[in-house]
Amino acid sequence: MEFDSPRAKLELINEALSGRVDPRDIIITLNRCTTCKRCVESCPFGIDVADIIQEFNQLVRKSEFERDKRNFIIKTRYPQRYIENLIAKGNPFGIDSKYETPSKNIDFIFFPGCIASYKDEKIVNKARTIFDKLDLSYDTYTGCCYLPLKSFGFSRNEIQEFFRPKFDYSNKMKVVTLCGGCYNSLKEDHNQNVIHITSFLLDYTNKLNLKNDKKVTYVDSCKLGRYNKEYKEPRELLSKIRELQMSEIENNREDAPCCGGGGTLQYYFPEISTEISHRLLDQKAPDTTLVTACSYCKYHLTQNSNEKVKHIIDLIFESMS
Amino acid sequence: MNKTKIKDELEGIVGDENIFTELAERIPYRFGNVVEYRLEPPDFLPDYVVKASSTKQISEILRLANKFNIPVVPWGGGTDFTGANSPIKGGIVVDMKEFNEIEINTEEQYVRAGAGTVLLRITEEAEKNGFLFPHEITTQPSATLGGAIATNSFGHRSSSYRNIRSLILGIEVVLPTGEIIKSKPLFKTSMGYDPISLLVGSEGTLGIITEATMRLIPAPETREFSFYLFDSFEDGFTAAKDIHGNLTPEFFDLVELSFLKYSDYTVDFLMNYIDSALISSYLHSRYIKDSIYGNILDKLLSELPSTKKIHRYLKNTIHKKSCLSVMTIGFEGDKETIRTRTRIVEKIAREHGGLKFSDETYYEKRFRSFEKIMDIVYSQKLPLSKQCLLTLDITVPVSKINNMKNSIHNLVQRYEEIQLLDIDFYSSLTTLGIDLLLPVNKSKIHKGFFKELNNTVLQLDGSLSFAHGVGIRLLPHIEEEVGKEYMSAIQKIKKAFDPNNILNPGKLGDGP
Repeated sequence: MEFDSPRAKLELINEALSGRVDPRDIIITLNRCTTCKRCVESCPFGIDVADIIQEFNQLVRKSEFERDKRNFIIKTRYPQRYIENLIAKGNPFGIDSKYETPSKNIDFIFFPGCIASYKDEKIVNKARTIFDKLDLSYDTYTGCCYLPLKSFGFSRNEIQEFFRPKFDYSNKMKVVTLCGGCYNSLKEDHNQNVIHITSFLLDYTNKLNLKNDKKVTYVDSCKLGRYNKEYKEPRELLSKIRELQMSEIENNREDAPCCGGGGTLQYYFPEISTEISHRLLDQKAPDTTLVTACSYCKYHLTQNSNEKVKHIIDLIFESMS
Repeated sequence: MNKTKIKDELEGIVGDENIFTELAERIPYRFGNVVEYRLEPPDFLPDYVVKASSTKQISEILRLANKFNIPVVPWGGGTDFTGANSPIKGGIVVDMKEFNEIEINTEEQYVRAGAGTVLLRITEEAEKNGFLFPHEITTQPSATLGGAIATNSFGHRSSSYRNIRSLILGIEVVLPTGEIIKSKPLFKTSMGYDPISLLVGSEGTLGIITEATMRLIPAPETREFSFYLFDSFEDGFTAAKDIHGNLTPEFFDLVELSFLKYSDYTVDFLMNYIDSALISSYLHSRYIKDSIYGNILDKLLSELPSTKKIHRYLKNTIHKKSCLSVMTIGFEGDKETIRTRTRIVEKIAREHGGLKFSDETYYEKRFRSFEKIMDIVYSQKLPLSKQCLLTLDITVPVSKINNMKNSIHNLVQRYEEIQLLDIDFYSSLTTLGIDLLLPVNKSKIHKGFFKELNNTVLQLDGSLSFAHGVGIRLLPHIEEEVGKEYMSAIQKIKKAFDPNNILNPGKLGDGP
């Protein structure tokens, strides 16, 4: 429909900013968007609609907050429990996040992200096994990067303040992530020296001796791909697995489809979010396993289907001899 | 009017989930790419946005509309320029994008597609099957087949394959009173009146097109482009005239670059154009300062295609105080024929002082002309909130082209706040695309300017539009162009098709 088009989103924002329309009347329709930035790639002007929507969300939240400081979360459209958990516990699931005291002489901080830490613990253990095999020393932080709050209109300053693991002592310390969202957030919002695990492992492939004759289809994650232009690295890592038969989704790299889990779409329009997941899975080559480099994409796709989706780390783990 | 009753009945037709009444869902259905409305937001809104998915539903919606006397406006890709798809009297907007099935028939050499099918998809499907769908327009990634037919669209290949009317074999239409009529997808029939051909260019006032069968042609063996730079517009135009006297190219484009005089040139701006065929024209301009010219030249030398030649040329001509033009010629077909035709073009161009150069990425970039224009806008650091881009499409006879061009320049000089970016002869010698930058919120200036421009066009036996249609923009001017009787004939046709004035009211055949 027309209101799903990037052009319409800009028109709605323009109407609100000109004072002709109450922002609260359009904010939900405006967030029928995964902020995947595919539209930015096809726009001849390169207009970043996703960023504009995020900024508008911030404006609206700020004005709602100013209007009613105590009750703004409860009264409005925000998922209250989710946000309260994030602020109080450091993750949306209400479990206490674990932050070890920073050790000395570590090689890096491992930041798997809240989804991997609390919903897919196996993958965190697999990554740790890989690190151990490589004789690396590191600390693990299990909290959230607070990217979801940004989608709900919280400002960069706010999420920096909420952010539990204060890396201030280690600004030059390398942070390794499993998730495209965390990668982008740590880089853009928290100014960390972050590296995604796919790029990180590229230096160690010789020591891992990878071999696997599986058939896989690789799909780019929006946050890793379009947001950070990391198209080459995951593919290079996959190419180091001997005998692996890798295919691509027809629309790949800049044109890659979203998993449906971005932005606030899944909270306001879960059916559309699920439909987008299915459309992606339909594009997978037959008899192959879908592989992603983002733990959030994996979680969202498995939640929305019976398909088996693997994180690149699952595959690396299985391919070690 | 009983609003609940209308909504209930609509629900009965398309289902609750396909009716949209939220403000935010209706706002985007007010207008497409209409500058007038961007400058001054309109005060109309559709009451209902409906997603229909079958011809039967369209028919039922129209019957309901007649019963309750409520307007209906069909909506395709929303790429309209003139307000033709704007629901200026409210009512129901029917989104047609669900009509998107495509069937290619290789034996009959046609494509049958739903009216909401995006044109680019038709092109791609045709290519997959070894055919060419010879209609390409700049907006094809989002414009739909139904909209293209309803505006008798004119495209990049229309110089030799003609406009969309000549590609239609058969169409299916729902009349404003709800009857469904169809024509067979045959090469030609001769069965008297052809009401369906009236739908071509009807801008959604005589019926809702739901499906069309379009002619395909075998995919050409190869495709080749060449570019020619001329010292003056007159040289370029004379060459183009001679070329058209000898052959019809599949692609033709002649641009007169007018905006040069407004630009405060910067090195950055020129560097953006290093890979573009147009770079040489900018350098050729008398408005470029020598100091900048010196910097650019070294960079050009290493990066432009056939740079040395252009370098030499520019060095020799930079001090000539003339306007200039760039001609693009594209051929499709077998290699041998293309070679012969290219030779003819080269010879003619040379006779008129044209310099040939090539840009192999042209085909990939050809739909990005907006990018080109916006780069210019950005480079001039114009406050975009105070300027608005408008493309006009006028046509005058070949013999009056020079007259017309000079009048446009004179007019723009008198209206200081209006800037001319370029004049583009698009696909033919007589179709002028004019890109203007208008000041925002100065409707008095706009009105004066357009009145004078329209008068000039009509005095020169031209027409106010060759491609974008009437919509609301040209509605007050049709009578000036076609006369009272012609106007009355249009109104009678509308009345015969749509006695209750349900379909897209306030437009063709009804307003102003």
